[in-house]
Amino acid sequence: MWEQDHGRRPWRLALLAIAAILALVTAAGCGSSSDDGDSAATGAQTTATTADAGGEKECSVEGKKIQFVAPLKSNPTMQVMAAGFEQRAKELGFDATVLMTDDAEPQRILALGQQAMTQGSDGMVIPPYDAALYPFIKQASAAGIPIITTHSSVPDSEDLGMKQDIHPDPAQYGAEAARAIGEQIGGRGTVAVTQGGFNPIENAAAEAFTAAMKEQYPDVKVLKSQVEGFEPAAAISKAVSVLQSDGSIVAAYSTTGGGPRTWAGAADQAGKRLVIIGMDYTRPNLDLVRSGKVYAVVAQPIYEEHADAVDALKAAICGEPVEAEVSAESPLVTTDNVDEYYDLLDRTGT
Amino acid sequence: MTPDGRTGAPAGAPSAGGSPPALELESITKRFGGVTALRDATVRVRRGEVHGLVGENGAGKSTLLKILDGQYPAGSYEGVVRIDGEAVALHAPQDARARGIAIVPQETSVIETLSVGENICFGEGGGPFADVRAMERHAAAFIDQLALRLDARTQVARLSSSQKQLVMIARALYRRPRVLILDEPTSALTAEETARLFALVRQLRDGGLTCIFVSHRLDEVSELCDRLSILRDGRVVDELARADFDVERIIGSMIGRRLTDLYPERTGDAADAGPAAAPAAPPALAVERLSIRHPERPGDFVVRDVSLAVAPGEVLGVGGLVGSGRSELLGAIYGRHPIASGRVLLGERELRISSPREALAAGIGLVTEDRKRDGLLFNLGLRENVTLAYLRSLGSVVLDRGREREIAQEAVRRFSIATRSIETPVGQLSGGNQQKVMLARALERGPRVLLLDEPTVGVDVGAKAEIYRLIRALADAGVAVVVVSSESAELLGLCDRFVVLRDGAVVDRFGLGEASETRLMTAAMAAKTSSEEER
Amino acid sequence: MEERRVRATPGGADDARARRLLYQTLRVPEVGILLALVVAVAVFALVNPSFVAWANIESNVRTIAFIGIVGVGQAMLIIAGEFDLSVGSVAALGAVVAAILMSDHGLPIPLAVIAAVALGLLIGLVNGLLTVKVGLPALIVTLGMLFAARGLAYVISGGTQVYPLPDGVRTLSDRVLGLPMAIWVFVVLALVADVAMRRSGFGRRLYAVGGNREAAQLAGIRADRVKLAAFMLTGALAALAGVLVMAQLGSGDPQIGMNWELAVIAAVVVGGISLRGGVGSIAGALLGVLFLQVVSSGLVVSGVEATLQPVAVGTVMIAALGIDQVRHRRFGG
Repeated sequence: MWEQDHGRRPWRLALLAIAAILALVTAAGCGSSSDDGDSAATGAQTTATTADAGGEKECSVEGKKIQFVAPLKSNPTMQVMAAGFEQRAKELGFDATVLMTDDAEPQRILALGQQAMTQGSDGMVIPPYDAALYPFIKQASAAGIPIITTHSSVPDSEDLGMKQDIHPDPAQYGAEAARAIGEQIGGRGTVAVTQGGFNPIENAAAEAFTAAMKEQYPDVKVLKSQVEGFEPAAAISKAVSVLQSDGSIVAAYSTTGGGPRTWAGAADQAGKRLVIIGMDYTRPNLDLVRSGKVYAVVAQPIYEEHADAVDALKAAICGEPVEAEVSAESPLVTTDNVDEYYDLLDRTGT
Repeated sequence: MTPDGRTGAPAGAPSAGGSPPALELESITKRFGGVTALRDATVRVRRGEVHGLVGENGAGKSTLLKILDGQYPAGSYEGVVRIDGEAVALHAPQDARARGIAIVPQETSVIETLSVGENICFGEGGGPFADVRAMERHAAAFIDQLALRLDARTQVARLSSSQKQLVMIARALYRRPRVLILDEPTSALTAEETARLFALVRQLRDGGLTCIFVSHRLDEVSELCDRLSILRDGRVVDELARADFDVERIIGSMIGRRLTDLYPERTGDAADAGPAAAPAAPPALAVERLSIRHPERPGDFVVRDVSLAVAPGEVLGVGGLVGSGRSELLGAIYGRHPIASGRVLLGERELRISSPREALAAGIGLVTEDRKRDGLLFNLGLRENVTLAYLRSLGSVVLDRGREREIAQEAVRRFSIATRSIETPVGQLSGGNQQKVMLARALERGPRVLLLDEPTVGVDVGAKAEIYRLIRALADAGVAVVVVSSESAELLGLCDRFVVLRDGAVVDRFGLGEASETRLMTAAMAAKTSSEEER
Repeated sequence: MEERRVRATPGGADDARARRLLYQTLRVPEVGILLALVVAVAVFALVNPSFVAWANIESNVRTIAFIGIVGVGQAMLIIAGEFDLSVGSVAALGAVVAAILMSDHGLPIPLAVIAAVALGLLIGLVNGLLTVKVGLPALIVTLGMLFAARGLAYVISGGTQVYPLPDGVRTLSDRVLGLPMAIWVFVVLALVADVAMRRSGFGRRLYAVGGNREAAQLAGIRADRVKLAAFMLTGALAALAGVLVMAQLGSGDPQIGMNWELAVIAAVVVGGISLRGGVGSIAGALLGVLFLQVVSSGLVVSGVEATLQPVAVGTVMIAALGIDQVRHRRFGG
């Protein structure tokens, strides 16, 4: 009478099914986590100490303990950041440690930061991507540990006491993109702009793009921003609609990392040639640049930022003056310099 | 608490003679379309008395109560309502409250998530932002006054159904009503709680409160009421003072004389079976000492130790009040409820099933009582409803539409269902035709045993007669039929043998020869008369 | 056809017949959403004729192919009286798992696709068991699965796109007979599902269980199994849609299917599927999906301010439901 033990059967079945899912997922996940293993060797929890510190003037940071505290240790972008930090620290002779979490949960990062503080820290580099991290930054600064924040800017209203806030400037790369597109299209035609969402950084980039275009190529018409979102299929469809809305569109600028794929896909579907600029030098995006489907991507200087951050830490430790806010230059990646960025990705093992 | 307060007439209450009645419904007629629910009904309730209102299902009691409660607004009926001799127009329940009429409905209507205190004081002053603590304090004092065993701070969801009943009564009384109406208040109560409730009602009456008490249970009515109005077919057919209370007379008035040609003639053996309390032939269905656990009260049973048998060609009537375990009995035979003990035999073989699916396969059909709740699929048409139990035979993957249409058309013909087409949504059919659709579905697979729960509820007289004829024809074709019904006349007109349930147990069983409405009702209501016998 | 006859025959008796025809046409449940769709297309085409350009039509159809495949499952599930919020996340998980299996593990592409769809099936089974057999509310179970499946997709992809994929994946997004593969898959699935809901025993059981579970059970239908099957189908179709998006993009992106769950439920409800269960058709549901896509694309094409577009979509969605309600009350069906 199989119907009689209804009460227990569903649990058993559910457990079986969950077990099967876990099996499948771990089977799929194994490949990536073995990759994680490799990258973890170069990234997380790696201690890089060198004796090569002779070239410094009076101040030596030989053996000083500094940490990079950040989320998502298997994320390629984060790995590039960690690599910039590590390489520079190695060159300067720091005793540097990379502390990264598996996910983007700020609470785990706080725990790692506290751990670094208790084990002794002479300085930290932290990307303050979530406001939940602010209290920790303030606390560590108050305890006399020099902190450099990177990549995301901390609002001026927050007084956290860190030594330097170094981050890319959306206004700078927005204007840069406008110059490049204006030149490519010969100063006439219509340009579409899309954003992943309406947030302060993307808004600033889009506004700077529009303003720079108006100033330098007054004959170019820049359409108002549309939201492409982050779901890739819907983004492409949105971009196709934008293309249909105006037949004179000859170029597109996107302020988000999905942008190159979005606009390349839309141009494909609509059978159009567009001058496309989007964000971020991920491998798929570099492939799009190399194949000519996308003219350029903005390379946020995530590697350099973190190398510079280590320099700033050294200056702070040595008591030299440190500029409070630094905007890092974001160059464009085109077919001319795309190979450098493939190299960079190869070097950082991503 | 006073055991019986009849002697101590309260000081404030005037004697019955001089002053006008506390409440008077005069010559009330209420129609719903073509149906007349109340005809020229007059009820007078004296100040400080407990007035009983009795009658069969559909006699007009609930219509009367809804008029008093303002749910049927003044103007939607003929006649006058007077309170203390003054004619009043009750347009809405708020009017009734303002006039001091408080009603405790039969269904529990408490707010489960609030505390006892909040439930009692709910909506009584305090503005939009109620002070819960104050409410509970007031309520606690009030509960003490009534000597109820309730804690004002308990959340109502945690109470038993009888305690919820008490909360509703307390809430009604908190408004200091002049007339308290209790509609079937004891159906959820245990014997002890009933006794306590009655003591409370007597105490309140002695304090000058007028009370209307509606109940099916004649023993309770006889015990508590000072006077009685008896309704039948929308009329007040009798009014009795306590001295004249007599169960035979009350039941006689409730039943009255009825049309007999509504029912088809019995043919074959059953017609002259005489005083047979046992089936004439080997039974098609036999139930032996069957018990079913109560779904909420552990250790309690809704059906206890019931045995019965039906032979092919026979119609067995199961009498008893709503809640006596009749529906659960049918449900258990059909594999809907698990059986606690006892067994069901289909012919010679013991039936061991745990789902309706298996019951259907074994040759049992069931027509449930509530078409809306578990009978019909109102999202689909007549065709889909008729063939629902027969899908497997219409093709394992794709349904044979031609065959399905034939089946539906055949059902429309055979049961003379009045419908525009076989595609008509069942919601657009009349109650009688909906009932026929359910019958057609239950019969689609040619069952040997047919279980019918209130087969004519909400069905007009013409359709009733048709349904009765269908049932009789089925029996004549050799089907064993079990009919559950609250209408004693229906049972008598339709069935060959009878079993009466009360509190889940068989209290009487008899053949057609010994059957009478009085005997059916007496057994069901537990009124003590000479004819009652256990088993 | 009926419409043409209506206009072609003036005169008293014919007039009455014409009115009856119109009335009967209006009784067909899908007519409401079809009318809304025609009106929307007409308005957008008037504002900007390029709205009806082939590229735009194809792009719209291609987009609804993905959401539509999910919509087929979701519509069946809602008709059976349940719903699934985890579809978008399951699509992402399916895409990422298929991508990793074929790129990092070198699994043949068909096997990787089958494994991903099987994974969706299993997730549907878990959703179903917890909802139907254990008795937890579908809202909580599938909301939990929404987070869990998306999280898993991020974890196993390392939070980034699985890239590059083997070249063979292109065949999944190639054009067949002039249209992308995804559109064909969607069209075939939609046709099969619509016929199944109208003609098959399974379809009938879904309607019965969603209309009145108790009554269906008393008529011998194993309601739990029927619901379980609908949950599994929904999960499998969601994973399939995710794999098709992956093939089009050429990468396994864990962001695939973001916000699909609400878009799908809104669309099928606009298309006449009742959230109370038992009512609606696949054809109507997919017209609803198409309608919402047309509206959101049309707003872009006609140059409505980006910030106002969500406001307009929401308004149109509610209006479409309201109009259908009026039609339903006046003409039945």
